[in-house]
Amino acid sequence: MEESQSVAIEFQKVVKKFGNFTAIHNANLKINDNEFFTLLGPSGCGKTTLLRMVAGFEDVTEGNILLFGQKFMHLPPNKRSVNTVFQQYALFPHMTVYENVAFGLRMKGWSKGNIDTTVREMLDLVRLTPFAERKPNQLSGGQQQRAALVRAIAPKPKVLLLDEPLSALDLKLRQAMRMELKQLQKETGITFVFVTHDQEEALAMSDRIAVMSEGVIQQIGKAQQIYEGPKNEIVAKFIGETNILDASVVGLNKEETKYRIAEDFIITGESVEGLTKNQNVKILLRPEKIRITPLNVNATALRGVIEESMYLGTDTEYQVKVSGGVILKIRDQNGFERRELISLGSHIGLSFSKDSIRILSS
Amino acid sequence: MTQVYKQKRAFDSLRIWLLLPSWVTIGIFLLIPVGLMLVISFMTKEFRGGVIWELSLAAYDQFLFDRGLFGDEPPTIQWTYIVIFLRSIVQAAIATFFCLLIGFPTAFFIATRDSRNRTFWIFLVTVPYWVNLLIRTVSLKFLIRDNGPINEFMISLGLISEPLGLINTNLAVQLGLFYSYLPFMVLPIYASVERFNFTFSEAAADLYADKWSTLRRIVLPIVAPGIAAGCILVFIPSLGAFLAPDLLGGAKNFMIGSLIEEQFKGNAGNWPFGAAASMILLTMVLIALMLYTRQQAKSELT
Ligand SMILES: Nc1ncnc2c1ncn2[C@@H]1O[C@H](COP(=O)(O)OP(=O)(O)O)[C@@H](O)[C@H]1O
Ligand SMILES: [Mg+2]
Repeated sequence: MEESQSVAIEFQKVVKKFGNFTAIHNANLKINDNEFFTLLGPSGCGKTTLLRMVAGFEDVTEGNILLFGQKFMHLPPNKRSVNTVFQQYALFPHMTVYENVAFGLRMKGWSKGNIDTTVREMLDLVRLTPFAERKPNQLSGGQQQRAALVRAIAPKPKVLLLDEPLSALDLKLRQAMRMELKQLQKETGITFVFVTHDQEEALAMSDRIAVMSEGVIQQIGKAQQIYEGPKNEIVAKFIGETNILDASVVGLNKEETKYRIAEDFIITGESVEGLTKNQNVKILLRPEKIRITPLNVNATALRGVIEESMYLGTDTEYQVKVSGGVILKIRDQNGFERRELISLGSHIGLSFSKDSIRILSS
Repeated sequence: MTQVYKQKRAFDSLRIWLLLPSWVTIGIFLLIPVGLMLVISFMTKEFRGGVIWELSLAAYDQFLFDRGLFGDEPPTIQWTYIVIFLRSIVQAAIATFFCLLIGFPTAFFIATRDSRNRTFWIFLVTVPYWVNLLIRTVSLKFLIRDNGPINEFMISLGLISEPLGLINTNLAVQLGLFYSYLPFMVLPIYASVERFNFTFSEAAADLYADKWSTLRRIVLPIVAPGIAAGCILVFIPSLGAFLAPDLLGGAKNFMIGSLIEEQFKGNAGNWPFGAAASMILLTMVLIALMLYTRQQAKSELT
């Protein structure tokens, strides 16, 4: 993490308990100013709880949260310059879109003229001007979503908290809104803390991601770091698909390490520090990193039999049985070269580069 | 969707039969009696109660104009009944106001309890209804009369030297109305606050609204239909109440309900006059309700 950037939100050893149940375990997290930061994790892992503590709707059991280096946990929600886009939008049903967007500004005591200019600017920004006088229930899901978004942005908060704002939209709209959100973050320069359980969304939008599971922050990093270098099995399983193989170290030198997965199933990876011979490890291998090759290319290549195939459009997923009865998932792109589906029962060769395997010591 | 739609329509052929019981009930127990009252109000009075079936406007005339003892002087406005009417409206309005003042916080309190405890609190609110209204009103009279327990207790403590003189005052009537109809205010408000989504008040706080602004600008407008229903449910029976004014108010604090009741009691009554007063009361209530629904429809549209 670059220390030169100023930190917008800092969680220091934050613990949150509901009665006996610990929802957040010792969370340490720095979110930079002007960053699009995503909290990613399965439902129930504590993402909403983290946001609610920042917004002021839940108190912190232990630890502290700082906003631009300042303590602010003692302030009630209406005194925090942090705004929330709620999961179900929570647009006030008795107010028009205009009044909804103006609400925060009114409460902050802005002058009438200022309010009007800002609200119109905001509605323009998300193309809601023609709908200004409508009530929320007269809007489509996407329009409601954009109204909730500008309602929270209008008071110019230091940090915007977004709790699964796209989850109620259908796929096409969701994909369009990803771009729009990202754009909005750049234009406004507000720090976005975005919550989602959708890994694709997280990878596509975020500057950095924190992967959570059962109240624990598992890994923090850029999308690529997290996808390519998951720190543990939980992260690896949650982000994308992966083959996880039990193996033991059978040979190591300066250049490479050899792992045995089954009797005659030995693979070679780059040398990894801190491994000892006969150590048990887990090997992570992404399905798209494995290439299918004709059998006769290389006599020493790994061989397998196609057990199952699933045609997915952009690519095809094969389940391949290799020696030792191990099943590998392989993603074969239906890209530039037109390919025929490989029929079940075919014998194929497999190859992957040394640097595409990732080792977790177990 | 289409499934639900079809199921809804499946009962179309049965519609008449499904509606019949309620139409019959409303017809027999509401429309016929009210129609009868309407007719009687235009008839001539019989001196020992009952009516002579001859058309006459005398009942309405008596309500509005004073034509002297023998009915031969030039008409002047008859204030007696108008005053009773106005007093009833004021009393009912005050009762509604106090029911709202106490009922709203009560309902809000109950609706924000744990869902397990809510039923218990609601049960407590309905407990008074296990006892007949007459008995409750008589007990209230017993409590507040000059040599009743409240006065005696306070005198024995030396807080007051003479009874407070509560009984037979407007205040006593107020108390009676308030006590009789408070649950009618609490229950509909409870129902609407219970349905209120508290994410809205979180959103308001998030947008810099303090507690008071949140209550005034978010909570109250959204639960307004429940408040309106409560006000109607208290105001209308208060307007026509006769037990509380009779038992607690004495002769000076007559309300329209007692006036009507008198006309149908024993030999002293005047059926057409009582019927006319009922019709005037009914008309006013209907006008008030119409204005209210008009307002509701308007606010839904915008
Ligand atoms: N008010 C609460 N009382 C008790 N448990 C809660 C409360 N809020 C959340 N939890 C629990 O805390 C955990 C995390 O919840 P949440 O933060 O909503 O998860 P997420 O947003 O990641 O789906 C869940 O197990 C949930 O049941
Ligand atoms: Mg959540």
